[in-house]
Amino acid sequence: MLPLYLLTAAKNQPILVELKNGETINGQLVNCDSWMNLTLKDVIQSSPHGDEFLKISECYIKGIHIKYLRLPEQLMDQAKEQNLQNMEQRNRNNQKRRGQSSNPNANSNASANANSNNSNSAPQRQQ
Amino acid sequence: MSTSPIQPEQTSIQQKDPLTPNVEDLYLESYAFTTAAAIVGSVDRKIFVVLRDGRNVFGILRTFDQFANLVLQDTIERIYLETEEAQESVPKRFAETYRGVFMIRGENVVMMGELDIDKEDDHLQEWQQIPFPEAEKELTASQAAKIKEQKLKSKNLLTKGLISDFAPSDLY
Amino acid sequence: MENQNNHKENRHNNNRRRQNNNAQKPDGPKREAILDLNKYKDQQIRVKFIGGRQVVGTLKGFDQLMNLVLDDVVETLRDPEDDSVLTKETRNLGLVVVRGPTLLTISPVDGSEIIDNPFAAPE
Repeated sequence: MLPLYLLTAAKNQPILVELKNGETINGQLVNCDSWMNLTLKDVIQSSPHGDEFLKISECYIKGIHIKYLRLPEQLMDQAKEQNLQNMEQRNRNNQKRRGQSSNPNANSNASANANSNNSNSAPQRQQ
Repeated sequence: MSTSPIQPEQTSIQQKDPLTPNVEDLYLESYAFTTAAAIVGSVDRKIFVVLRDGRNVFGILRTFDQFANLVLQDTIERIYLETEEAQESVPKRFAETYRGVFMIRGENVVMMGELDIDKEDDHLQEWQQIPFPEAEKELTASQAAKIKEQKLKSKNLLTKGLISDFAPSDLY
Repeated sequence: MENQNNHKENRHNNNRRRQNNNAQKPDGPKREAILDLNKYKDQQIRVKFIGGRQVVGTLKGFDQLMNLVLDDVVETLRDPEDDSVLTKETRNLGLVVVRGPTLLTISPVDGSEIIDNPFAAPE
């Protein structure tokens, strides 16, 4: 999973962002985009020297100014699980197709579609 | 991944012969100098990263992208406090702190490399470990002093018409 | 001949497979703007710039490149020795156009307060 996908998966989780100028911004990730621009809420902003703190309700951060982000530990486990589930799905779909290669394409795709839709709802409910 | 240097005559001969066995190796060799090829071999291994602000970060590389944005797991940050005069009375000190899951933006990476987990802590035998906040304070103090010195230098050079290229965020 | 037909079938199946799998792939990063500046219209916002400047003003207008129009802008000046330390001094700039590329952070002034170290361990 690419880093930006992982970041998108971190939505609604607390993260810490350190900017290039040394400021650290702690908050809950609301949204992110492909340039790594972030919107956070319930934010605590710390100065580079760690002596001044500002609490703000929301904050928008431009991605090009980020040095690094710290993400919650459980995010990696969640992402791994999701990857495993996707892989299993893909394997199952492949096996279905291989098993039904003699049948017309429409039938095999329709059943594979139905299967993938059913199992799609299950993991999302867990989240 | 094979690390033998590429010899031009050999590869051209291999390209001419379509039945050559190591086609994958050939493809990898032609991408050998791309960032992706260099990094993909380090995935799920322990690496060290040096950031532009001078931080040394150690962790297991989980994923990366074309910009060398890196995601590390079980990251620790280590500060090395080395004094210029290698005296007996002043031992070399270091400090560590746990950082968890670290996502580094690629442009901030100076260099990174794979660690041999059997030998990675060997060099620390002669170093004395101190608590992290203390090391951090000392490091920021020395960095501030360095920045001040550089700024003064830049000013002086400017009066002589010379431009000094110093960015206070690049402390590596 | 048979191989060619199988080839076509495989490509067809691969396309369908990709369509199915896209439904399960994790959401990728978005391409449209994630900050709706309409909600800050006529509100006071604090804008930080690349280079360290910090400014507070009323948002009057904006565009997709995140250029902003701010009114009654007050810049908080910084310590000449240390660029990151803000002083109490300010200067008034009036009506200002802020260039999107130099923007660092945007936050509303409403609901912002200076607090003591929230991470310090309780004594």
